[in-house]
Amino acid sequence: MVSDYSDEELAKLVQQGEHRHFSTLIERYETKMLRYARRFLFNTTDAEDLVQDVFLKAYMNIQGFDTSRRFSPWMYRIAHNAFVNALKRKGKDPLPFFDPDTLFPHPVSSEQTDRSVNDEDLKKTMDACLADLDPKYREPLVLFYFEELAYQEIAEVLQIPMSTVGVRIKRAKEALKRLYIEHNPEYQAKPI
Amino acid sequence: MSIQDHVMEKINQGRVAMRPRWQFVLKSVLAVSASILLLLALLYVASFAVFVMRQNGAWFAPQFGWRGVAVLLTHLPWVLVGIGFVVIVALELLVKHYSFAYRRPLLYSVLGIVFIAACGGLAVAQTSLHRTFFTRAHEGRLPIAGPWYRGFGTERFRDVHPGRIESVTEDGVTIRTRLNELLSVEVTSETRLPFGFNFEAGDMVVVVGDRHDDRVEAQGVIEVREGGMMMPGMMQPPPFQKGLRPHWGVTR
Repeated sequence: MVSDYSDEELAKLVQQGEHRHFSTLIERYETKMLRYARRFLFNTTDAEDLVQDVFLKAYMNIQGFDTSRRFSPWMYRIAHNAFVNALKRKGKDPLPFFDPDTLFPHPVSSEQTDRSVNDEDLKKTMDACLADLDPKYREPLVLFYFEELAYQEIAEVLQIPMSTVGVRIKRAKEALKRLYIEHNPEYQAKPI
Repeated sequence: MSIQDHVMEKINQGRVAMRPRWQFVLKSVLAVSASILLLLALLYVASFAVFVMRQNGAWFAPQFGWRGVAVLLTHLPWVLVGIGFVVIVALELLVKHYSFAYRRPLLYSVLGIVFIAACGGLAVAQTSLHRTFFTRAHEGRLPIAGPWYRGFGTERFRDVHPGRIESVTEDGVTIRTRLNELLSVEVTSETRLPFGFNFEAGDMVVVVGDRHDDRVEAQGVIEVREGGMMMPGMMQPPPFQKGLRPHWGVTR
């Protein structure tokens, strides 16, 4: 059954000319891509058009996908590029040409600790303040907490060192906390 | 229509097609080729910088202690350093989308490239490549790169003086520089002589010290091997120094 095939196996079949299997890949990733787009771009109409473009780009470039690697980061990478270009077209350049965070090594924080502490509270906080966060910090936060990608996968999507992923998520949470307190002065700051 | 339907309709109608695999292969081949060319360019620039510093004597200055290190740093061929920097940036931009480059902090890959350039540059500088081009340039037998080789390596500095010993005197030595100038080098008890004072006429030396007219107060003198420096007869100063009065008052 097609549903038994992994993403990588389906991609290989599409590469071999069986493009009908691409429909299954769309089915598996449509919700994820829409969620990613909405939380990164905050514009529902744009999100659907963009996600459609993402899948078309994925199909056009499928021969460039190495089937020995995981399909998910590759798919997210195409989405990342499309969303970043969309922000640039709106005059908001989300990523600097040179990011000092990628220059030096940083200690890698514990992924498990990041994920387990106050997950639900954090998601509610993020929903309230995500739009005001710098896209550079918003994106890894979205990928980690909402798309539930691992640090290594986020590093592959954003093409940055894994230690930089940890640094950006840490700074994103600090910024989020400041934003939330600004919007909710009565909020008693709790550790995130 | 859902996103899935929209996309599959376009695919089924042939309105969107897969890019052929050979395009991706070609892109990778071009990226690898360009990276190799840039790396070779970097090795050339690094080795040429070493050659130039050997020619103008600054390379040997660190043997005279911290003053010598300062002399080396102030006489680095900054144009070549700048070109090397540009090549390194181009190389980083070329490889930044490959996992071996982006998985580690940028500092590691830059240090790695600099290390390879330094080791490779030193190795290439040991060969006769630049000496051969240098000689041909001064014989007028090197088209295109001739001005490049004539321009570098014939600079004059106020505090570094490579030359050949003409005679040994009571006060020190006299040397004839590459520009056919005769300098009196005063050797005192303060002068650093890493290998002692056993100079003879004909020895190639580098003298570090301030020049006053045609006298140099040597802070250090060291003999260098014939291959470490070249003295291809009388040489012309680089075009930008012709006709200029040197600031230490010597006229030609």
